[in-house]
Amino acid sequence: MAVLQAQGVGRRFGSRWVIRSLDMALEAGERVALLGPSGCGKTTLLNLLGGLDRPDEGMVLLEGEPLHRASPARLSVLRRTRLGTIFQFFHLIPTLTAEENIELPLRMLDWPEAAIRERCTALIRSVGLTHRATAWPAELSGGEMQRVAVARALAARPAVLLADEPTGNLDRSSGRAVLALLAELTEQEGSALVLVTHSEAAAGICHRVLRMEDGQFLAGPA
Amino acid sequence: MTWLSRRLVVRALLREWGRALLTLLTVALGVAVFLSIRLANRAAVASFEQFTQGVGQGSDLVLRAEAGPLREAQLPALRPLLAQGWMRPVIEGSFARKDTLEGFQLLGLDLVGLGAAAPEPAQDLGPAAPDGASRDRATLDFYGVIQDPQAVLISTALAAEGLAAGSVLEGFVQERPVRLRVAGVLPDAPSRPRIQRNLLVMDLPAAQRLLAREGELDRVEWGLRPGARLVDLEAQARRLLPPGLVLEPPEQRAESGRTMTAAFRFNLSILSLIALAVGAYLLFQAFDASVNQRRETWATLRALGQPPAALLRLVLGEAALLGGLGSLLGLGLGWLLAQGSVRAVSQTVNALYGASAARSAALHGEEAFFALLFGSLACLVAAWVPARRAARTPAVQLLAREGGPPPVATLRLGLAGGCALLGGVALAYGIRPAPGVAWQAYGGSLLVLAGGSLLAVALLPLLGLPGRSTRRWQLRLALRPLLRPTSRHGFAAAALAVAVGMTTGMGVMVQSFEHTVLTWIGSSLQADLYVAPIGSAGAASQHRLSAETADALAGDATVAAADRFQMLPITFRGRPTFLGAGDMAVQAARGGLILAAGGPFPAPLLALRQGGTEAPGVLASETFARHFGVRVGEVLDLPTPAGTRRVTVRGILADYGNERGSLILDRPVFLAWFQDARVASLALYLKPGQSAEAVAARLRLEHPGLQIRSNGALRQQVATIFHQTFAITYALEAIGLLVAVLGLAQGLTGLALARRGEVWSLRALGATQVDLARILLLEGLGVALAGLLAGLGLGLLLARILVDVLNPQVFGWTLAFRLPVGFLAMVALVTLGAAALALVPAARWGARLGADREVEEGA
Ligand SMILES: Nc1ncnc2c1ncn2[C@@H]1O[C@H](COP(=O)(O)OP(=O)(O)OP(=O)(O)O)[C@@H](O)[C@H]1O
Ligand SMILES: [Mg+2]
Repeated sequence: MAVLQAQGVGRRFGSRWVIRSLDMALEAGERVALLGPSGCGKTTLLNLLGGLDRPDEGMVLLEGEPLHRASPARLSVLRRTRLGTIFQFFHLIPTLTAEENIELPLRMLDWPEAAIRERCTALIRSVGLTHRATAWPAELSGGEMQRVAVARALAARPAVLLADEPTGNLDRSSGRAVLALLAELTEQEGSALVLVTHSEAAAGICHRVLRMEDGQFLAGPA
Repeated sequence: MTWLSRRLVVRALLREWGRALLTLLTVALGVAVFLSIRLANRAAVASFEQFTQGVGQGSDLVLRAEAGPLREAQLPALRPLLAQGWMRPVIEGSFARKDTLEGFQLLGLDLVGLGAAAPEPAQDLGPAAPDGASRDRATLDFYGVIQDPQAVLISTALAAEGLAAGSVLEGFVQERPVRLRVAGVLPDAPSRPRIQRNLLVMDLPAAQRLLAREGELDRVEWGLRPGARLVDLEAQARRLLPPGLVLEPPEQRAESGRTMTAAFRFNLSILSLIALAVGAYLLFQAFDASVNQRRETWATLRALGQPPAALLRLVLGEAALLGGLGSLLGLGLGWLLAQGSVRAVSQTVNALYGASAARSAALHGEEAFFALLFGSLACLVAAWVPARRAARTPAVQLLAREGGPPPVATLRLGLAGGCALLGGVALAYGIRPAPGVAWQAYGGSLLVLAGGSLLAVALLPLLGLPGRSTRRWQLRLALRPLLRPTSRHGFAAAALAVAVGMTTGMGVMVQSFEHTVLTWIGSSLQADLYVAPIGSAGAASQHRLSAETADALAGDATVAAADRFQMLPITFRGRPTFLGAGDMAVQAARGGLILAAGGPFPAPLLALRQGGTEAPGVLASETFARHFGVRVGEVLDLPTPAGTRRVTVRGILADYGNERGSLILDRPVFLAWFQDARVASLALYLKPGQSAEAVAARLRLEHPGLQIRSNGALRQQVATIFHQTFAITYALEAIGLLVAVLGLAQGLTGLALARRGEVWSLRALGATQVDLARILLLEGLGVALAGLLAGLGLGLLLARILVDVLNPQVFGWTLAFRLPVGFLAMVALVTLGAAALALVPAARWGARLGADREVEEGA
């Protein structure tokens, strides 16, 4: 069964439909790249998939559960447990250290202290930031910040990871490193990934590529 | 307006209308609090001055006796002056209305002279208007009045209450029942302040008869004839002046100490200061936030090659726009706020002085102008500081990725605050200027205030400390920002600290004052019954008991002893003060005066009596001693109707009743010198076994014109008056506190706005709205707590300065410092409660910032 499914999803701003009647399905552990020119509606779709926005038509199902019918409280629970998000601009909490940013989702879930420590240490090691664990976000480079963001998004072992141009703000080599990390970690954790990107290279780490234009997929979803 | 400023300022304001509105409202609030307290002040002072001046306006010099009444017989000596000036003899008295027991000021004027002979003074008086027709009408009124010895002219305000010409005003003068006839109305003229409601004007001879003071005057007012010069008139007057008479400028009216008490003025000016401080903090906060929020824009422009000066102009242009609009809005808001505070002020003025005060505040043009000026200038300065900082910071830093507003240097602020605080204390306690001046206490208080508010900012990281180590994520997110507070946190905490500090300082001072006064009353009020003419509550009263009535009461079968007390205004060393006289034999045996110097009670009282009428002693009140720098053992030259007499100060009396101070003579000496056997009040000590209430009830029936109060009732009344005096303090302080709390909420809203991205990512990570609201609320409460703690601390320090330095220095009142724990707890509770009330909606709003459509539509 698909972990994430969009059925005839559409979103309109004012009278203009940015996305219209989109269908897509994401299998467990599957990595999908969303490619398309600027303004074609990628971010809009991602927000719908993550339940941050509500569709004007159709619906999004997360593990069979329709997001538009979930209460705000339920949505929060889903975000804590089943969904991970990575932003183009990192959005680390500036008053928490790298390590604390990573453990934040676990604390939200009231994990026992020992489990938090263990998971956090493992994640920091796997993103290669053990030596920067106690640094403040302001003291990190862009690539480092995004690696923290990846670790934070994966901390609670989400079923789906949504990433909106995670490398858009990075130079090519740190971008590659982050992408490799994303591929490796999602593989390892068994999370599915929707990766919004402009770059064909980035799409290379994915199993499948969806091309968008004007709110439509160019080739029907495979 | 340039292309750039149109786009960057006006358009930005329109697009980000939330931010603009917030700034606008804050400016409005700041201006409003400033204006409202100023307006209330003005209303109080105006209604008071109106009351003080009465009708007697437009005179250039005032002639009065140094002590005792002015005799008409002394006037002919001054006849040559009439070539240069006109004169207006005045006698004053009091009338108490029977049904309401309201007090009225009774003014006896020479209406014949005013109405017919001298046109100018008549215009000044009011009944005659500039045009001839109405002068005729007014003149007619005058003749109506002078033919009837009971006739009075009343104010339009009183006439509007249904007292037409011909109706009767029943009441008491001195202790006697009288019936006055309303003969006409004193018309108001637009050029003069309105005539106070509680004013009655009579013809001079009729008033003298009514007051049983034939041939006596209280003062003679002199005005210049056209073409004459004041210096000449004054010089000639001084040459002709009979001994025992003094010339004063008109504003130095000493009659019955009816100037607004300095304490009350002091109170009001301190409150203006709070208004100013809190208002300024709010403006600074608003613009600091507004400029900081657009750092990116400014930095980008810098990077694109705009010179810093051009940026500064843009920022200041925006500030001027917002400041102007916000100040205008604040005018309206301030006027509204003022209505409430004016009501509080007028209640106090009514209670204290029996004056009918304004019940609403007009939007005074000058005050409005000042408020606008204050608002706009403060906005410009407030914008200039962060703008200059932004203009100076290298663009790269401004554009840094995690470019939130920079944290404030709390350590440096804390050190500066501590220094200011210590400096303030050192200044207040270290220097002793002449009595009556206290610049060092005011300066010290200001420094303490400034230092305390800086310390509030420095306190933030300390309160944030638990956030460093806690494992609870909400607590972490709420308290971490306090560890590195931004200027928003700082301003909110500092403003709150000032408001709380002022409230605490004044409150503790008032409570110490109250405690001291109640102790003093407890000790000095020892008699069973206190008798005074009806209507003689305020200091303005001129009612006296006749010697016969006093004798009758003292001779009553139930009375063991009586202390007759009389009090007169005198001019001592050129300054107005009071001379009192009491029965020291009775007082020494039965009373309980508290002495500040001269030995324990009753030794100084007995010493006072030893010299007889030849070399008598005198008691000086503490306020008198301070004002005139007088010590025990000093010999004073006292003006009396019989010439100057020498008296020796035998003791200094604690006295909180009268801030002009007074000298107290033994009654036999006073009688010999002043030939005045009237009594202002009478203290009766009953024989054992008599019920005070029963005797009072009987005496009231026998003497309907007297007010007879038991010891308990009088104490109660004094306490009530005390509370009323300071009621306004609390009312206006509440405004300051309220505004500071609103500022706090505004600060939090701004913080949430600035941390939009953070809120958004927290939501994406699964934080619920409740979580977010809780985090924001907790952060806000942390700021409130910092403001509260610093405020309480600085408030206590302020109170100590007020009690230890300022009150003794300015008023000559030694107060016992008292720590009112209940009051402090109340301030803390009210502050935190109000903060929570204001913060909850702000926090909920902030939590919604990152909200998605799911929320708006519900699910
Ligand atoms: N809140 C909004 N109000 C109005 N229009 C919007 C809003 N959000 C997005 N749009 C419009 O919807 C369209 C799709 O926007 P979206 O952000 O999804 O594009 P995108 O594919 O992510 O582009 P990019 O690659 O540049 O990030 C754009 O034309 C944009 O102008
Ligand atoms: Mg996008």
